[in-house]
Amino acid sequence: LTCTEAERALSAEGDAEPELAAALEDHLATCPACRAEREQTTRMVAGLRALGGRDLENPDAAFARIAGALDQDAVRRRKLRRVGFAAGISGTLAVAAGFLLMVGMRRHLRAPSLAQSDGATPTDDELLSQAQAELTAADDHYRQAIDTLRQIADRERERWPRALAASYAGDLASREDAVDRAAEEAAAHPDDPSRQAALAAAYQAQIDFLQGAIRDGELAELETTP
Amino acid sequence: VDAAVTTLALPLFSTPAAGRPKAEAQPVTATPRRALDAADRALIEGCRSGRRDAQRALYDRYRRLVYGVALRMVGPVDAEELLQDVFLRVFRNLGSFRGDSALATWIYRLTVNASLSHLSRRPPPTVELGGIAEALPGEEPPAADPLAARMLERAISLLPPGYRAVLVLHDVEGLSHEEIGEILGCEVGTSKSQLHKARARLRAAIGGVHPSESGGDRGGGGQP
Repeated sequence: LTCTEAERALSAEGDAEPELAAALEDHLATCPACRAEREQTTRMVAGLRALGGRDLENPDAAFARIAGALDQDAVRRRKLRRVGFAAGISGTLAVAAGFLLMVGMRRHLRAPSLAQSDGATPTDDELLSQAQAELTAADDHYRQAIDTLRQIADRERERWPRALAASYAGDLASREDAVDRAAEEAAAHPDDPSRQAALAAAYQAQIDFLQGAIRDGELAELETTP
Repeated sequence: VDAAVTTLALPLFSTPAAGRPKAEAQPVTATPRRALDAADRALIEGCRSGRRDAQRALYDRYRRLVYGVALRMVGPVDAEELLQDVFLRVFRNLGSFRGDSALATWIYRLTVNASLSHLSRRPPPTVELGGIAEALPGEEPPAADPLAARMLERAISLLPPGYRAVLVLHDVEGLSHEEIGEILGCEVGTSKSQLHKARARLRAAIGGVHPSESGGDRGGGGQP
């Protein structure tokens, strides 16, 4: 072996083939420099192996910090479930409101000829008033759901990644504008089912947006939290 | 399940790796096994259920493994923070751990990856070393010379991260090249090659002479 080959063989000691190991021993018997290098490598590896076995100075404290972070994870997961539940309720409201709206409009169109009161069964006009009251309540519920989601987002956004927080503000403003325009159109044309449906869709889009932003923020935080 | 978890508090690796000097302290590190054993399965199930006692048992079982690698990879200042990061990753991702490899292998992989990611975010060290060779352990047991150990740790910290990972896993943790290949996702030959280069760099850093850097063969009748 040359010294260079011997040096490679030294690094592979323990894994070397028997022939190479024998050749290495022959070389070392005649080369003091490589012998010295082997001794140094042996001491170095022994020193490296002796570095193992260290433990934390305070393993209980380290685990307490890990457990604390896991507890925060659990809180976030519960919060995410609440957000999902709130959005689910709002989605149900959207379906119900759309149904009431269409029923109400149909009854409104037929009311003049069908209105007959027997004192016990509500008239069509009474049913229409009831439906309109329920629609108003649905509208209130939409707005309450949006306000609640906004409160969550406003509270959480300071911990969101900067890019997400910045895009949230801009997107929120444009969606609020869309809701305001749809509400104005619906108010100006109370007999137009398509405008009522557009308002319900704008509400739902706002809810979906807020829910998505909160989820994204939470997930980003989960990713980056030590 | 409670009984199974209770047994998990026992040290996982009670036998030092082959060739490693026995230490006075507790078991050192782990040699990954190919299969996921019953104790690990019980631990994983407990952790997936969110049980704090199972999390603590898993932590007690593997913390020396994680800390040992973290300490050599990122140094004492950041090692504890890295350990916490690794265990959070372990607990958060145990649900997606399929058990294709030993739990120790997976945890080693998370630790090395977290270490490399950590190192990529900070500037490389620039301190020069000298005269460590004389301070390396001689006839005395290596562990008996804390100064030599500190200097050796410093020399390790000057290695490029990739070399450092292989050197730590092989020479400090006592893992085989096959196990290192599984952890790092590389071929066995690559692991051997990296170790060869890492040792050469370490020898150079601590004052040794690399044959290939000294103009080839050194004479002395070294021809076959």
